[in-house]
Amino acid sequence: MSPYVIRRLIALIPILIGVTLLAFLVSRALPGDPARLYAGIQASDAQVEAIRERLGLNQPLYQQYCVYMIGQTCLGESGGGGLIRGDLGESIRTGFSVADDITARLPATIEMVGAGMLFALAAALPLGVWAAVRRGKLIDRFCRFISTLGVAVPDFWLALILMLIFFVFLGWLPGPVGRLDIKAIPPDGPTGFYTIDSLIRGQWETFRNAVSHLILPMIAIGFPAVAPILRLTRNATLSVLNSDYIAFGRASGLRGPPLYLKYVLRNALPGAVTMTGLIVGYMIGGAVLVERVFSWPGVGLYAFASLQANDYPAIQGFVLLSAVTYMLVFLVVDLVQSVIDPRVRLK
Amino acid sequence: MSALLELRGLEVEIQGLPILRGVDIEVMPGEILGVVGETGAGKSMTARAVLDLLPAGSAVSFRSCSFGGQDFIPVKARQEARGHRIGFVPQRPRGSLNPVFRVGHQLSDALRRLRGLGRRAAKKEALDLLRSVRITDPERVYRSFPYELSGGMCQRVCIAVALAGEPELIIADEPTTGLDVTIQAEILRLFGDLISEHNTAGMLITHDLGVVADVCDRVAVMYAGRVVNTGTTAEIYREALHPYANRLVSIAASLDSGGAPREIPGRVPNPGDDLASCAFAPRCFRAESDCFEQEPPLVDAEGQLAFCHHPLTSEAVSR
Ligand SMILES: Nc1ncnc2c1ncn2[C@@H]1O[C@H](COP(=O)(O)OP(=O)(O)O)[C@@H](O)[C@H]1O
Ligand SMILES: [Mg+2]
Repeated sequence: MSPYVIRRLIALIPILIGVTLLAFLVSRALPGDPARLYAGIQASDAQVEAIRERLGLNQPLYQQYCVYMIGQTCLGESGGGGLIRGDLGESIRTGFSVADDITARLPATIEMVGAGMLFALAAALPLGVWAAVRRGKLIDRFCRFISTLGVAVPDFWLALILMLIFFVFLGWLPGPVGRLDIKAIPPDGPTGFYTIDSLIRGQWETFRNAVSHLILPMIAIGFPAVAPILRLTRNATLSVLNSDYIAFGRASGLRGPPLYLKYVLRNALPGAVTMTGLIVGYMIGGAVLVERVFSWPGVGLYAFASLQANDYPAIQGFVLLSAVTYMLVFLVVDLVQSVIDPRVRLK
Repeated sequence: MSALLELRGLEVEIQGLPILRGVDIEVMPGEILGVVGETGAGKSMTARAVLDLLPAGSAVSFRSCSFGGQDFIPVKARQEARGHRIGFVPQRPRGSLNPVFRVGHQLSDALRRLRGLGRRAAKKEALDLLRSVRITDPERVYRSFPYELSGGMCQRVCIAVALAGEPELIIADEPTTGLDVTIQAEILRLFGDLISEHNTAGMLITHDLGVVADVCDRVAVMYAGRVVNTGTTAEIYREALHPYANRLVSIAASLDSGGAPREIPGRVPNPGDDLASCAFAPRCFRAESDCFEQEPPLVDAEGQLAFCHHPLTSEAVSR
């Protein structure tokens, strides 16, 4: 790893400590009592109290936080645990380690968000360039319409509408049953992404199945990203088209796709890349609702269930994951910028 | 000998304003034509019309236009000539190379595009071209990004790009403005040398008559969207027929001999201004009432052509 990357990663540590504190306090501020939810409606007060004791929820807040951060060491006991050892605690709801819970669900979310982002970029970048080149023409007005729509339509609402059309009315795509048909057996592969694993294993039927389940969530999470990237790309392209280097390129015989998709787009890209980073960070939040609509078994659905159960460690784990993702995405954005434009210096 | 580029009655309007009002220009094979005139005369627009690179909202018409015997009025013919038949050298070399690609990549891309070379052959040819524009360390320049090179170096690269398609004509639009004075002379000499080495013709656009004297065979002087005077460089310098051209030459000469900068009184008209029959009449020391009332005739004398009622020679005969 380059010294630059290492420095950037080290700089993340204090920010992440702040995030843990915030996540800790916010989850405690949620209405509801995890011990009572855990014990069930019929449990007696004594039983609830016993559970509270076992979960450590009767300790003072600062002590709970200390245990969360550095484990039993905090109480003067030997033994492990704590965030510094990579232990996110145990989920109150599932009883498993939060880290394991999240790891198991992460590929589903990454597959969905990744596909959504690819969908958004594949639509927004060429359309943005095209709209700028044909400024004021039909395609430009169509793109403005798409942009307005993208801003106006919330992703979970879009998810419901898509489902209504393509599952309920047309019956072209499967309903909200998750990543595969209920009877289908998941491919066992190295990545955890069903589309890629089934391809690696050569299981065509499973691949088709996985893709058909992925399409609607992909559009639902990706569509809201199209508008901002498209608009940014269009405006950046307009100014690139006015540049001396494009004028000289044209005068030296450049035109058509090589002109627009190579020489123009590469210069119009930096804004879109930053926006993409912002959106990927935001998509982790969007995934909560979209996964809920499609019963997509990812970290978003996990976060949703954890919220309902006041599952403090799980909520904290999810917030931390979101924060880490967000910051890593921005590191990647900066690295990509420096690859796109040699004048960008990393310091 | 027939002209390589022959342009008659070129008119350009941008958003309804007349920019070019009937430009006649011809470039003979192998020669370098200098196109001079104050800023705003329409020199760049003339070049851009030939390559169909006018700004959006322009309307173009020609009375006739041909290049190497081919009818050049169809837009397609002019577009297809870019890079292939006509090379272009830009005004601001540093801004004219794409900032995010290595210059070698841009040059070999041009070679692949214009000559259909393969990757390997294009790279080899690109290095040869860089050497032919007198770059002493072509390998390093090949690997450089534009921002790592000086303006003069960028202009050499641009000239190499202009040569890449083995064009019959190279148009250079103020190729030395913005460069250091010492570099300017080098670039001009390079331009002149390359035109003869590569058996092409050149069109050198400049507002600096001093530049013309060194490299151009013939000169076309533009004023307010029209060519008012053409002739061999020697003739124009000896005694230009048109009072405007004549003044430009004498100002350039007095600057050369260390005189104080002088100007022609009055100002250049803007597009859309009401023009006298001869657009230069309001500023002209020889103007009489006919200059304001009748279109100036084309006069032909001593190898020059000029549109003028009162040219600076007694033998001028009206045609
Ligand atoms: N993009 C444009 N839109 C409108 N008018 C323009 C544009 N570019 C140039 N002009 C006008 O066209 C005239 C000729 O410009 P140009 O050919 O660039 O002059 P020159 O190269 O001789 O200095 C000028 O009066 C200028 O104002
Ligand atoms: Mg100009």
